[in-house]
Amino acid sequence: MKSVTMGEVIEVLNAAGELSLTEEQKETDITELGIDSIAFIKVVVALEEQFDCEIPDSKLILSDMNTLQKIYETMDALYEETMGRDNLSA
Amino acid sequence: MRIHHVGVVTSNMDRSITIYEKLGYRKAVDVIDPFQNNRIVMMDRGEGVMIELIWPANEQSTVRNFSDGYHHLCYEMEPGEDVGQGFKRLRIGKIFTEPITAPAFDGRKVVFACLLDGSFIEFILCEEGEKKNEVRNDGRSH
Repeated sequence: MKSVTMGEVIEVLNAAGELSLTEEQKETDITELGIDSIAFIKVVVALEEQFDCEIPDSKLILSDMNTLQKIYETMDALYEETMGRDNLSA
Repeated sequence: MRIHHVGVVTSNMDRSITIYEKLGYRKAVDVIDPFQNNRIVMMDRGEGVMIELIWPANEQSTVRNFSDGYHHLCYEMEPGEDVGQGFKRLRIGKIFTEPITAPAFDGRKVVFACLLDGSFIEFILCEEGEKKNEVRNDGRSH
């Protein structure tokens, strides 16, 4: 998995979700901007492609990933988890 | 796997049925899907690939936010084909539903996937010992 930056998350979210968010809006609820469950799954697929990872089904809850900040934190935690696992198996 | 149908969302079912009848199709299945909250009409022309007309039946409909027109392509799996691991290996998208009962296909299970380009595909699963769904010439599914 690739490391995660807020800038890349913003880029992916805006492209896949057809939004124009900036970092200043990282606490904005994206469901209020029209992201429903179908648009959310498109964002998830785009995030997986961008960061070369698989987001576990257990994390695919829109209310837990409904802001830029929460998405970034989820992706960053996934990266840390992946790196930790890789280090253990090395 | 083979292409089974093309899903098309419509807000005017009668008009859509007429359109496809004029293109040589006839109504093969007409059901309300209580799991996805849609009315489903399968239009068949006897050439294998059908048109699935999808009309949102209520506010919980899975297509309530979709515009009229193309919605998805559906593949029917062959016996023994594993859609889960097979699809994952391709790395072209993500299956995002659990298996859902599909009344339009005689209660068989289906799953939906979102592809990297943002489009959707459906897979009709083929469980062991299960016969594949076929539409009879008298217009009823079995």
